[in-house]
Amino acid sequence: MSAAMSAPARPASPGDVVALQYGNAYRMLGVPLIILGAVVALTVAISVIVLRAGGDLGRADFNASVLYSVLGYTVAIGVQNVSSSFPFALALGSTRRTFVLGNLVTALAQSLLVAVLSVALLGVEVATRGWFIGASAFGSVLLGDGDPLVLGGVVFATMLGALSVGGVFGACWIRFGARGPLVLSLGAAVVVVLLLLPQIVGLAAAFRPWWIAVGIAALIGLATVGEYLFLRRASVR
Amino acid sequence: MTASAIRLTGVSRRFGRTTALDDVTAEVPAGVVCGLLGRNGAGKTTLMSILAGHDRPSAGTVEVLGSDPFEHADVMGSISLIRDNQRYPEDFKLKHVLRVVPRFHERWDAELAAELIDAFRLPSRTTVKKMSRGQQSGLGIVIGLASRAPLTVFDEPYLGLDATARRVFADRLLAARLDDAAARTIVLSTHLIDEMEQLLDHVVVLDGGRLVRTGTTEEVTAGAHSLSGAAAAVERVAAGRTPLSSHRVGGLLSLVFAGEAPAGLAEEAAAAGVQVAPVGLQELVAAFGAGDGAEVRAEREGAAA
Repeated sequence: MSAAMSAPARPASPGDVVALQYGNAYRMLGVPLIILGAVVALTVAISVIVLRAGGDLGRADFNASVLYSVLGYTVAIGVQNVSSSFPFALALGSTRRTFVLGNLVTALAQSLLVAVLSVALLGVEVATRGWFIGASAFGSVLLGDGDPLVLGGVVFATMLGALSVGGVFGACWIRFGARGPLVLSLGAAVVVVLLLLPQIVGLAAAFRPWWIAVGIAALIGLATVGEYLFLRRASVR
Repeated sequence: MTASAIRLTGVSRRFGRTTALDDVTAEVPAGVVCGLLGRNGAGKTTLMSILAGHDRPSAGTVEVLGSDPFEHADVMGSISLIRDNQRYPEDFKLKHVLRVVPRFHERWDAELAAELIDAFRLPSRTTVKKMSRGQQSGLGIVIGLASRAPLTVFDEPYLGLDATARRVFADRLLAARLDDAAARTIVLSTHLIDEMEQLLDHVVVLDGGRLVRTGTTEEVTAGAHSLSGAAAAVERVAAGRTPLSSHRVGGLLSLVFAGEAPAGLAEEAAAAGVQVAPVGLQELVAAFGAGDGAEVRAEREGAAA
């Protein structure tokens, strides 16, 4: 039997990869919302205990649990978005380049969503005067002291950094197996110890806040390029 | 227009010191169902990965739907390859898969997908990674068949499937083959060759990473014959010829030879009480896999000389 060759189908787009990553909305939207809600609940509970014990909530202004709580989960999402979504995306006809671009758009969208959610919760916190008891989860000094732009920026950059780092580790695992992430971690640790630590005193003296933004941007850029370079040569498992 | 959907020229793939594919040259016409056959470790999955653009050959050239598939967006967008051990996002259930896959396959047939899901009795509440082996195979078949991708590749689609599910797959595969509007080329690997033989238009047989036979199913099976009967009589009739495989049960012996039966063999065999018979595809593939490959190499070198 012979036949004319079928016309090519539409190539996969980064938007298709984003749809894949948000295929289970609960994982991407529901869980972060639950985590942030849990942070509010715990902050209120701890604040009540402190107040009943005669303490002062002013010292809780350095509460940055919003970042810590969602950070680990976000890194895990970053890893999973590569380690298990990459083989499935290729099975469905995506190229590696399209997958990495789609994953970058996903990371930007996810970071923006969590940042907007945090700012919205800050609005509720302000409107309720600290969840009715003066507690501060989103408006703490470390998170901008109630400035929504600072809070949004910090959360956005942190989430994007976490997703990018998770993504590069996931890609490293796909490319080199279990030893890949170990070697990558050791390599990163060596760079920090040998290059940055000897300069730490001088760096601290000259430190400017914008360095953080530049550092995170560099980290995200390196991680994205690294993710593509690892996946470019990776065999699909 | 008749065209090749797949064209392989001297394709080799090495992983360190292991050679998974060794100088494979073959063509698969468009619009056929092609069986990729051979023992475990023959190189079938490696070849499928290369066809789908999931991997690159160490040497040689690959053309799929007219171009090298690796990182070629148009070609890769026209291919569906669900592996026998396909990884899905960890928390995906059936509904998540069905939400995502049509985004990638514009010709997605939702009606067919629903029909197959019902026929395979795929669970909706279980995550894909917790589905049974047969259910995961069923899901792979749903994605592959309903994708209507111009090149659809199935890696061991029968793994764990019960008899009813295998019949459903065979029926739907036949329907897909007859679907002229799609003009699909389907490549599948399987060990259940007897069950699939009637559906295969074309076969590619690998052993130890080397191509041992390719062509239409009829061409390939016509290129071998067997002798069977009392061991002594068979050995006498076969004297001086090297079989691809031999199978002895008690005093009976069956030998499989490459090539058509030589002139005069039928008469000589009949006189000795030995039966000369054509070889089925499964028997032939088993014969190629039975030896250490020496016969195949000798035959290839002889043919090249």
